[in-house]
Amino acid sequence: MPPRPPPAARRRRPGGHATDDPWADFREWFTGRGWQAFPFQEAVWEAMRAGESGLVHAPTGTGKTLAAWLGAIARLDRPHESGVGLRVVWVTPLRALAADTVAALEAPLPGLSPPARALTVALRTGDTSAADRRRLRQNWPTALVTTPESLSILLSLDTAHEIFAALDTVIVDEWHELLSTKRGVQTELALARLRSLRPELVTWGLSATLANLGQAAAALVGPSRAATARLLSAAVPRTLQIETLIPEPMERFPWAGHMGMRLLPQVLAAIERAATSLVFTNTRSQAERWYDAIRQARPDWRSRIALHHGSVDRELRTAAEQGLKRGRMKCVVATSSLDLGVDFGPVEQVLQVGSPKGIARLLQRAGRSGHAPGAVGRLVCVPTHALELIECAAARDAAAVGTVEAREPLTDPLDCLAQHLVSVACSGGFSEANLRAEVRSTLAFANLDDASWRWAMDFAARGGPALAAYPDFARIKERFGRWYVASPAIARRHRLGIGTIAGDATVEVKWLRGGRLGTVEESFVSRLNEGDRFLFAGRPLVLFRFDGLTAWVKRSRSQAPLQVPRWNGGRMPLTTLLSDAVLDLIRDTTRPGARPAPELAAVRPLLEIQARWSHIPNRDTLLVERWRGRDGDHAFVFPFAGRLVHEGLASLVAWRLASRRPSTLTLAFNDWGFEIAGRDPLPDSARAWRRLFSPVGLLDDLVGCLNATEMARRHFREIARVAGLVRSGGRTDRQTQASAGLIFDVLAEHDAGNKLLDQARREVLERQFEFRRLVTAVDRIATRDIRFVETPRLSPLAFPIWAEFIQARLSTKDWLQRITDMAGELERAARV
Amino acid sequence: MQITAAETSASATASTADIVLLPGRVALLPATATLLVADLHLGKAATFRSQGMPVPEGPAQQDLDRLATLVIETDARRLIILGDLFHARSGCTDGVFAEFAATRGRFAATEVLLVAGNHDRSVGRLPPGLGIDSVLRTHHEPPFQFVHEPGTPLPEPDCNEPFTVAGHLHPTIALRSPSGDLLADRCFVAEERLLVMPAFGSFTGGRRVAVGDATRIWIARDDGVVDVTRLARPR
Repeated sequence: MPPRPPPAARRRRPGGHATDDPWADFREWFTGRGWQAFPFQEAVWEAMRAGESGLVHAPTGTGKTLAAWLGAIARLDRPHESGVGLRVVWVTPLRALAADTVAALEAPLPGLSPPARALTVALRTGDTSAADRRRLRQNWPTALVTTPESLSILLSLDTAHEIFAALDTVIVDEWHELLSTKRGVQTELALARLRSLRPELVTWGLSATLANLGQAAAALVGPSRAATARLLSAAVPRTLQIETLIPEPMERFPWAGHMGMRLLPQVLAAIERAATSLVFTNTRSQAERWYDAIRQARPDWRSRIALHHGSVDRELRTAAEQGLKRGRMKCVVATSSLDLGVDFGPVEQVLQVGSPKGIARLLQRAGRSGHAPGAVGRLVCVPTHALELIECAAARDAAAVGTVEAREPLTDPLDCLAQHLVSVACSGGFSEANLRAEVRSTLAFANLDDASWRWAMDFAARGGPALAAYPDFARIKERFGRWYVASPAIARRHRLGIGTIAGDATVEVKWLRGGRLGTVEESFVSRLNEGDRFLFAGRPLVLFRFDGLTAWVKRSRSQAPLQVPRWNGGRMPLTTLLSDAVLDLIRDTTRPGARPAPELAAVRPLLEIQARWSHIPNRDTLLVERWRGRDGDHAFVFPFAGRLVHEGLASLVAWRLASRRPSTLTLAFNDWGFEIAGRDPLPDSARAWRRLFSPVGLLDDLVGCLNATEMARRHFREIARVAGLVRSGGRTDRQTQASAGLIFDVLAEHDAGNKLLDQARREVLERQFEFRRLVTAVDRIATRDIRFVETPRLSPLAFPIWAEFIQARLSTKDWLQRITDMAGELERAARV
Repeated sequence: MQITAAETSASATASTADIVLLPGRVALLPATATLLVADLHLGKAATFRSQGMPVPEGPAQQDLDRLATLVIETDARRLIILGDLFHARSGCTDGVFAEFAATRGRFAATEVLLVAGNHDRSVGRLPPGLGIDSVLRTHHEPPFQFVHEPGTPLPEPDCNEPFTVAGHLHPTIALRSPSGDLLADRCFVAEERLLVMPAFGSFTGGRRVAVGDATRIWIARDDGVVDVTRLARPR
């Protein structure tokens, strides 16, 4: 590390030039590269130097990083009492991006004048070794690149107030990614803490364009400062070309599933014509399949194509990224794992397999291409079934007009609060009144009621009322009006737990004889019995043993059919904005005399069949189709509200049906509608269906069907981790291993007032079913006509849902009856 | 070896089978009026609390009540605990031991035998007054051998290979119907010369078992026990 500049030198202007132009040094640096600073970048510098906070929003690759980083450097110029220590914290959402970010921040330094040239940038994430952390503690860099988790850990150290004593600036990169997540709340709490330590702190967020930028800024700087926060837009004109591959000839079938692969020749041709392409898919299993298909088709590209998704081992992912940066790759097949991060200059085009499902996402992915000077961003949509042509066209039209979706911040996640209380107690303790005011200064907890605060305090101190009888348990203790962590051991374990706020429960997949294959979602593995076979990373495997942390596998040599892991990640619902656009496009396309765009012209024959066999849905009519199959009755309902809402509506309707007569119903859903199937006849009139969608008792019935389907129990894992009820990760002590589901059961029975259970129910409603959107959908149905149609065959709109197979089951029968039913089914299957 | 499932304690005691599986995740040997139970993991919640994780104790007391009721209902002369009675040293507070001793007092006439499991060994020496009559590593009583971990070798070579009854694995099974219903629960698992008991303690996890062509499976719940071998075997 270069020596830090002496304090005297740091008081000079960043450029060291005694001119009137404070930005001469930066300008010179831009000029040296044949570039010119954009007006928005200069505006950010000015605002930062003036001590203002705010949000910069722009598509990726428009120079947000340089705007904020040079602005932060300009602030270093202010004289500082201590002269040492950390001055800039740079928060990045993914630790995989952190190393790239360090490189990006270091890049301009050698070209700047002496004081800035000597700045140091360092990294601290969950991956940083203990030795490197020790080194950091002895010699803090000027700027530290870190993740929300690592920042929270630093803030939980008892030396936190020393570490951050000289902090001037915090930059939160990709704020839109954090905004509607618990890690976003963790960031909000950390920022509030930092503002308490450093009232003059300047905070900037870098974000993609959102519909609710004002709210995003309020979450960043706190609602009380929101009015003065600056919103700066990088109005940089970027040309974007979006086109859709249309199958030739457009077959009438398939209506679902496999058309994507039929487009392989066209995809190969598209990849051929560009030097480097990124192929985005919506799911990891799709990524695996496309990667395999491209490799089979073009063995000559074999060394120049790679697979990149969240379950692929880190080393392989890094190799793919390096290859992209250096322009050695012909094509990388990726999921949202490559949505973020520094730009890969050589990427000429992006192929989006499957509908982008949202306009913001389409823009984000399109923005990953065309970063070479003078290049144009180029996105090719590859529909995977006929109806996706419509979604692609709708997304393109909306993007051209410039509409995007909002991202809603979370409110009152008590698990995050419980974690934060212990963290602050670890870092030198707190007075309850001060911390409560500080917590309420965040947008997430601005309206936190006293009862919830007291509960969280009680939970941190005593584990809640149910644990009052166990005085041996305490995580925080009061002494002379301040709360401190109960013991150094608890502080140590707590810090280990902070890192685990992130996402899904995944388990490692390892060879029995040694070696790691990657990770897979726990929910998938826990459904397997030992000896079951599945496909992973292109290999047929057999599960030897699953011990809760690791799935031990062997290679499978059997030829029997395999299960394919279904990673839940990436199955984003179609946004409201886009589904409304889809409905309008369908209406316009099927109008007599319409002259639709090429995608829609291709899909028009299909819509004509739909009109003939059934009905074309629109914004004013809810379509319900019933089809009697050999295996029972099927009803298809088309609210066009996104797959999560449809899952909720399907569960609700199934619950209401089954609570009248005990039965087992199977459910399936996609972004356009849902299916309910059962052996008994389903309602056969518009009136009967309207009753099933009644808004009366909606919440109770949803919670009712939640209990039946155990969703809250499954969802509880994440909450339990954040709140410190369970631990995860390699260092888990065997004696304290328990599944969150088990703890959920214990709490539900013995601590029913535990607010974390409420939170699990609330969150599962919102996250699993997009509850707010579901309520809107139910209200909308109440004012719409219901069109009930008996169809002789599966209609073109029903077919894709039917082809999703069973997504969920809802049963109001008891376990014994279910076993009897299973045995009956088995017998019938054997007779056929 | 004849293994059967019974719905009530009364029908179990009258059974002529060698082993009777009962609701509540216990098994009875009618010939010797011996009740078998495995993996209670008492004090597990306390272990969690000692590590700073707030879990209430509730289930342990209920499990003990359930155990006492089963011993009394089956009129068992002897209770064999097939290991992992206690979870860990850090969770073995005086209260946990006292609760066990109090429950044990409710069936004072019944002999209690503990086949020590891996968790029991980590707990170390048990305090006096718990009412456990003997603690053994394995217990051999032809035609049975009682162990904690299946696969534990016999103390001496035996020409008549015994039928082993074990715990330790916390077996669970997931049943899938052709139409996609999925039912997962704890289970008894029997192989030709082995019976593995489900974990008795409520606050315990489970592990999915491998089902072979000769494996027999019974779903084991508090409110019932049902043979599901046909549903569980690979198709």
